[in-house]
Amino acid sequence: MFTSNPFAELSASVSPAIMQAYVIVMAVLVVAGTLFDVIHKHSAQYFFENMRAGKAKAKKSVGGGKKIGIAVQTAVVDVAMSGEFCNQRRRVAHLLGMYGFVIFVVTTAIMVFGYPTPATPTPQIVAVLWYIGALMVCVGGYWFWFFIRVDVAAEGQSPLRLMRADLFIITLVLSCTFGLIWAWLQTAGSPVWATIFLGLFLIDTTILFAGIPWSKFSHMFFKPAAAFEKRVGKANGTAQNLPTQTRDDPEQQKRHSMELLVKAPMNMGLGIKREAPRHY
Amino acid sequence: MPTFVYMTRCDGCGHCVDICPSDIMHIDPTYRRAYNIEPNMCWECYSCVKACPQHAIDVRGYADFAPLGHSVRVDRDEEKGTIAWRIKFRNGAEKNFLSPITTKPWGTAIPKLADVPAPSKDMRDSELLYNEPKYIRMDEGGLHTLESNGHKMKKGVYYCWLTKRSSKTASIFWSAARALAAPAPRGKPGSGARTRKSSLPRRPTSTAPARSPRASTPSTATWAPAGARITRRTMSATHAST
Repeated sequence: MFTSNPFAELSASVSPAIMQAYVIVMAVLVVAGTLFDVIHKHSAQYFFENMRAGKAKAKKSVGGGKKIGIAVQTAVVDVAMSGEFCNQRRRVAHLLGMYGFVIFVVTTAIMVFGYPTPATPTPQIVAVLWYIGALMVCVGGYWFWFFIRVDVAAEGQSPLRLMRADLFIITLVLSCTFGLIWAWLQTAGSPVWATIFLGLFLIDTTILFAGIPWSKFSHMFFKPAAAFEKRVGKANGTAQNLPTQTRDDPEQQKRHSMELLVKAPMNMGLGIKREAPRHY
Repeated sequence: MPTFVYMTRCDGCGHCVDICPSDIMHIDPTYRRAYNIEPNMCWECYSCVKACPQHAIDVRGYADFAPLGHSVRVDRDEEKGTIAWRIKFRNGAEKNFLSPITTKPWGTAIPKLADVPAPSKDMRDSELLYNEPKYIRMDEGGLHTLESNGHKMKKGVYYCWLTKRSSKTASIFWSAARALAAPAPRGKPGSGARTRKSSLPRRPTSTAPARSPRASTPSTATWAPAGARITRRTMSATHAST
C-alpha cells in the first residue's frame, strides 16, 4: 500500500485531466482566498503602515544587507523551525503538521501531474512520502486536537466542541485522514467504500482550500511577515516599545543595579517556565 | 487601568491564566486566546504582563499621568535573571531600567526547612505570636498537616478531558465538591457560627492544655475535608470565618 500511487489507481475511473484540473482549481482558490483575506482584513496595509511607523521611530538604521540577514534568520528560525512557539509540545506538533502538509501537497502535485497513470510508474519514494506526509499531519493534528489545544488542556472542554476557529485544523486533519483511508480501501479492493471516502476526501479538501477567508489557512503567509517585522523592530531599536537592555551588554553591566549580578552566571536557567502552565 | 491582550500576539499558552492572582485572566472559548474577564477586578499587578512570553499583554496608564502616546513595557528575562522596563513619555523622552530578579540560578537557593531546628517552647510562648492562629503556634504539638488530620491530597483540577471522562473517581469528587459548594446556612451575625462547620471533619483531640479562650477555640474551619477543591472562594470563606 505505501509504495503505490493512489492517483494512478484512480485513473482507471477518473480521467487524469480531471484530477489535474481539480489541483489547479485548488491552487487558484489558495491564491484568490489569500488575496481576499489580505484585502478584506487590511493585513498588508497594516503591515506596511507598521513598518513605516517603525522606521520613523527607529533609533538605528537597518541597511539592505542587514535586512537580508534578518529575512534569512526569520526563514530559518521562525518559519522552518517554528521558533515562535514557547511550548515545546506545541512546537513539535506544529512542525509535524507543517512539514507533513508540505510533503503531502507537493507529492500529490508530483503524482497527479507527473505520474497520473500506471503507464508511467511512480518512483517508490514519492508514493512513500505521500503517505508519510499524511501520517505526519494526522499525528501532529490529532495530538494537538486531543491533548494540547488550549481549551482542552486547560479548560477541560470536550474535543468534539467545534468553533469556526477550528475550520483549518479540522479540515486539514480530516483531509489527510480521509485520503489515507481512501488509498487503503482502494488498495484493499473495496470500491464502494473507496468511492465514499474519495468523496469525503474531496469535499474536505475543497473546504480546506475554499474556506481560506474564514479559516486561519493564511497564517502561513502573514505569520512570517509579522516575525520579520518583529526582528526588524529589534534591530532598529523600536522593538514594539519593549525594553532592549540586556545584562550581557557590557555597557549595562556597569549599572549600579547590576552589582548584585557581577558574580552570577549569565544563564540563570528557567524560573516559572520550569513548569508548564496548567494550574487553571 | 486593567490589562488587555493583543489577540494577534497571544498564542494561548496559559502562563497569564496560571499566574493571575485575581483569577481573571482566562482563555476565550471562541478564539482560544487569553483575555481579561473582569477588568474591574484587575490590580494592575503586572504579573501576567511579565509572565507573557509573547509580550501580548499590556496595561494602559491612567490618563492623568500617562496621556496618549505613552508606553510602559516590561521584559522579564528569566535566563539572565533580570527585569527591564522601558517607559516612553508623550514627548518622546524615555526611561530605561534594568534590575536583578534573582542573584542565584533558579531553583538552587530553596531553603531546606526540614533541616531548620523547630522553634523552642520559649519562642512559641512569645508574645509576638499572641495574635497568630494557634496552629501556627503549634500549641497542640507539631505542625498540622493533611496527614496528621487523617486527610489525603487529591488532585482537584483536571488537565485533560480524558482524565475527566475516564476517571470514575472524578465524578465522585465532583459530586462531593458540589455538595460542599452548596450554600451553607448562615449563623446570626455575631453568633460565631462558622461556614460549613458541621460538614467538616473533627480534628484530633488536643492533648495540650488550653491557655486562653482563643487558644481553645477550635479552628477546624481552616481545614477542608479530603477531596475538597480549595478554591479562592472557599479559601476566603474559611479565612473569613476564623
